Amino acid sequence: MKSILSIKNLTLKLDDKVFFADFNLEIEENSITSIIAPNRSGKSLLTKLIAGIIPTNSNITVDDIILNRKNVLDYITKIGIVTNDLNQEFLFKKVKDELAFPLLNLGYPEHKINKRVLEIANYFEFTNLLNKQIIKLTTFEKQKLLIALSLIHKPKILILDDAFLELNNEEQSFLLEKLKELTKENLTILNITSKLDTTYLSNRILILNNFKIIKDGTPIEIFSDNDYLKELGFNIPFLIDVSNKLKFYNLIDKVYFDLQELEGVLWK
Amino acid sequence: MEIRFLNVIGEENNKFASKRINIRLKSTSITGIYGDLLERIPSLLTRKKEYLGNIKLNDTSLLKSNKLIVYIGKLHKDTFLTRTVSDEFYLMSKYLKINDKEYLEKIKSSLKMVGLNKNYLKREIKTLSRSEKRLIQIALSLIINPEVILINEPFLYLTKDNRFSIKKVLLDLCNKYEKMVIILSQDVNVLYEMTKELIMFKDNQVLASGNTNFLLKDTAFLEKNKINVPDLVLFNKIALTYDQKLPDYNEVNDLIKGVYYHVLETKDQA
Repeated sequence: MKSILSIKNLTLKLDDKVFFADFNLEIEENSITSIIAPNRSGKSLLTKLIAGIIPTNSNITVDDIILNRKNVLDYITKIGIVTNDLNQEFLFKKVKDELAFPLLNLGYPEHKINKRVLEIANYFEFTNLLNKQIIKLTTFEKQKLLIALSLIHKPKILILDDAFLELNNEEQSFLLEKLKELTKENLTILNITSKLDTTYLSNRILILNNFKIIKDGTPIEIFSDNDYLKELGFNIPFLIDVSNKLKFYNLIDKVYFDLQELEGVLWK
Repeated sequence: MEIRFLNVIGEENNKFASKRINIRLKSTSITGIYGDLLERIPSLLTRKKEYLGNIKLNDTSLLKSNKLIVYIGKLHKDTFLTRTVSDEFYLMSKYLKINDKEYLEKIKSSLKMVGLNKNYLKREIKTLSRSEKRLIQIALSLIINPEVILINEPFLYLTKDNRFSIKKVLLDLCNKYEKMVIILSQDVNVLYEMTKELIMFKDNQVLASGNTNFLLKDTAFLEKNKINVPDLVLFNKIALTYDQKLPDYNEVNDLIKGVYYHVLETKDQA
């Protein structure tokens, strides 16, 4: 499988403090990968480095385009980034104008812009909000808009930087399912998060702590030890918590990500 | 203490509710508010702007009432404006025009109500854990001795282990200090754990109100309205499909113990 994002030997020193040292990461095309990280372990810094917001001399490529001054526009259009900063400044008052602006910047003709805006609003089920003022959107509506904005130019990889922090389970599941569908259409998702329950749909999970990858595995491998995750400061989701505790009493044999399946084994 | 919304539909230039709201909130236990109008309620109760309909605190109109209502928002990076806890209290007291004589007493009493001592005043905000920040945020709002406290997502960003102190403070404010505590949350698990009464909004109108346990155990009602079923309720509901009747649990550890003994008993019977 092709690697869509590649970070080789990333080193970042600021004021003599080493933040990343010889950091390497390969993300497979059309996959969903989660990097789970407690607070202050390098989540947002990593996102900013991949986005090119913080310059580095290290080798970062997306879809074979290396991040440097010469390629920056080509590079950046391959990426979509969503953060949890719902109070960020929007440029326009209305939802549809905000959505149209990145495409206008990229030189899309008006008819194509209108078509794409409608298409993405329809996909995330907010066509009724296109004429609404952004200031009047709810938290969930704003987060939908931010995700749609980051995908409007059809990037190759979407980076979520704790993007679901303020959403409830229902809203989170809606967006995760929608995003998962898009991986069938050539989108790769890198979910950098502190919220473990946003990672169930991932093919691979890595743990980032103190600017280092300390574990890399499948969801079952990563989530099989409550104490280890708690020690790192994670909030353990109900299903993982229950699975590990029932496993401790030898009532089940592994972590389950579906309650129906877990109880099927428990009550068999 | 009682708050009644009578035919409320929003503000003069912002009728956000699709139907007139008629609800009653009582101070005898913690009340939860869930759903799409959740973020609108604090603005109605604290801004004291003209609104359409009537909101009464006991028998007095909200606009004429002298009862103090505070809203504690979600914890975010701009929650604190200064460097130390002491500076935050100082700023708050200046804003509220609290005189210097009362100032120290009020701070001490606020901190005491959230289980902290005056040593916290020296602490820099950046050295506080998230749960400590949340406690300081609550203490700051208590300086005016409010009668009603609205708190939005009290446990957001907190791990289960450090939720405990916040949970205790909210229960104390309601039971010991007799404040009306209203939790605003989109998380049914938080509402199931913390509240006795619940008001649910959907499609910009009241969907249901009443006893939390009654509402959140009605899985057919929740599923029909596309609302998540609390984890502990869902566990029991799925168990029933395997002919396993479990008692109601409010804590995961109790559930695990219960399941363990239930499995042993079932094996013994077999």
